[in-house]
Amino acid sequence: MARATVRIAVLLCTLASLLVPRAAFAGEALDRVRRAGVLRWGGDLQGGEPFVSQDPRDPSHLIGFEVDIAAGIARALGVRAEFVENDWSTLVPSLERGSFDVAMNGLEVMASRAARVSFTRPYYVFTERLIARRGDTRVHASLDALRGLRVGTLASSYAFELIRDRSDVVVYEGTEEPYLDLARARTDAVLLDDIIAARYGEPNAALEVVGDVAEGYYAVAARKSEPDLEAAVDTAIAAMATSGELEAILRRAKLWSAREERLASWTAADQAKMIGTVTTYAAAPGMTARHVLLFVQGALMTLLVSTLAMLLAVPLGLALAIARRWGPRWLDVLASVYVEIYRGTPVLLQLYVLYYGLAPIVRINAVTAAVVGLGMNYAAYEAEAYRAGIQAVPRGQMEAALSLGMSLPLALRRVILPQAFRHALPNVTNDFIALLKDSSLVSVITVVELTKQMTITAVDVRGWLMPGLLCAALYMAMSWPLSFVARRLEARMARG
Amino acid sequence: MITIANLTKSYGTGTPILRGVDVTFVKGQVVAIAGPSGAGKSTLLRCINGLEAFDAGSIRVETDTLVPGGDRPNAVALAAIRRRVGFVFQTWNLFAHRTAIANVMEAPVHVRKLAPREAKTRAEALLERVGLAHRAHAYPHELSGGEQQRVAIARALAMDPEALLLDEPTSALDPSRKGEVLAVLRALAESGMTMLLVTHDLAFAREVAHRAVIVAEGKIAADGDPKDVLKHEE
Repeated sequence: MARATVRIAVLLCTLASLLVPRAAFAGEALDRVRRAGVLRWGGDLQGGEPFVSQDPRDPSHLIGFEVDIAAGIARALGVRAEFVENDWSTLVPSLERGSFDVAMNGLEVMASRAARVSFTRPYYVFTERLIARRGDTRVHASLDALRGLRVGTLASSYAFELIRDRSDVVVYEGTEEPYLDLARARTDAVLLDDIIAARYGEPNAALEVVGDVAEGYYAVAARKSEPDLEAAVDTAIAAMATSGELEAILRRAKLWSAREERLASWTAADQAKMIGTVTTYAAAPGMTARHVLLFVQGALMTLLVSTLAMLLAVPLGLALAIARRWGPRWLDVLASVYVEIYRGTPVLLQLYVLYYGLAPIVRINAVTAAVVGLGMNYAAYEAEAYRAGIQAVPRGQMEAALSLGMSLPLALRRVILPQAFRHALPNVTNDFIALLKDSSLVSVITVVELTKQMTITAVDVRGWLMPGLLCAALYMAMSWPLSFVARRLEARMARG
Repeated sequence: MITIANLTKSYGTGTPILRGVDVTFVKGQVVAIAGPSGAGKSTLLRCINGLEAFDAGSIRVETDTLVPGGDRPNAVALAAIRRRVGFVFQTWNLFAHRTAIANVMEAPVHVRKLAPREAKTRAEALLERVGLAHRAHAYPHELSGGEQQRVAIARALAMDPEALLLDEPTSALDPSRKGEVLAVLRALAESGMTMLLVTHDLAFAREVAHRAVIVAEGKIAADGDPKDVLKHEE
């Protein structure tokens, strides 16, 4: 009895210790990593070569210059390195909430990040490289020359910070798409880190390098509450830089140039200057009226895309439902296949195929692609809603219509569909509300709508809470009146 | 007016419902069709205006003939027959999303292309005739069963049919509501309308029918004067 009690007490204590936030006490982080025997570092495989990617010969094995650097750091700490996959644009918030010990994946040292996490000394000096279509004389190698042009870059990147107030910025989530769109003249130029430009832009024969317009640093990010870990990693990088190990790694990845020589003699003054440059002009700004205006613009885009998509989905879904219920056999099969394909695959994939996959065949802009993509997807759901609605209309209604001499199309139009629509209305409304929220997916094809605006602003104001609340409020402001109207409409139709 | 020859029909699994029905209905007659439940009375009626397809035999209404095979081969004939012959359902089947008067106006306006104003005047007269002028703007769910059936009769009459097929028009009604519908049917019979009335109400059949036909086991079992034929059905 007593022993059992002790056991339970021990168990409870163990559980309690697990529940204590792991980053709670300064000075313990390094101990924690050493005890665990692993340094968990966050990055995104989607960034691809040469950062971190799967070895094509053995996909379970990771390769890349950052893999080598992580291994070197871990060795210096007496542990092994373990990679943790995380969406690149949310590496900083994920680090803050403790998904991994450090983040290292082409994270540019910049104000919005330095305000929230600590950066070690840099392990790579990069340039912002401007690429345009071959022979396009409008694009010159200076930031100011980009004024008024459509310029592609990655969301929440240093390049984005540089051009956001100058150009019409098109934000991407992947590294390959900006250059594909540039080649297809969807944008005028792409500004991205030299590694990405060299990898994905320069090989494209239709494109050429205009020049480098800025310089910056990649460094390892650690939580501000864990200076001991940050210091240990910093020391490890310093040792790798002076021993020549870092140079060897960068040379292997064909990333070495004279620019990188300063890494070996990096001083505290250099570090202060690096952090200072990025933090001086960026005292955390907080949400301003301008942000709110941008949010409202984002909300209007969400509303525009959703409404147009629904206006496409409603008649298309109706046609599909009629084809399945009354069409000839071949049409029924065709409609069923359509519905199954669109319901059985992620809408994200459909948007991707429509915008990037079919780009060589159909030239449509991003907003059109968003409307068509979401509309065609939701048509499949509307078809099901109408099918259920049609089934809910008693058979006698059709018989009565036919017995009065109505043709099938007339009976559908005058008798069956008006009643079916009434039955389908709650589902159609719910679908529209769902569509409002699903429309956030169109950010993958560069449409900046409400959610995308929120993530951009969150980086600006160094926090997710206010932008998140504002974003939620705007979504609510759009969907709540909709469900209110739908309830009223339902009630009115129920009365007759 | 309506000539049915060797009408044969089975339901899906092969259960025969009509086994070669031969019968002729003439203009101006009120014919009661009676017989045990499941004998094929309703099916016979529904075949005449194409609500059911049949397997063999033929149905001729004036100059239009229906053949086996359902809607497709019969499209032209069906359209013509449905213009001549109105149908009244056991469960009335009013258009649930339309008012009483809109139900009556629907087919004249959209099938016969009558001007809405004229269709409305005629619909008001028809509702008056079935005693429901005051309920013209009620929706079906606001009407009693008997009222709904009277609107349904007015709706069928609005197409000026030469004959009316009535499929057990009172059997889904409360006993207290049957009288009002029977009164309408009685007046209709007296006006000289050709009517085929499937019914279990033998007293009423005796009262209004000129002729009675008994359907049993998918065949015509008896045909003649209601007083003689219906005597054995009690």
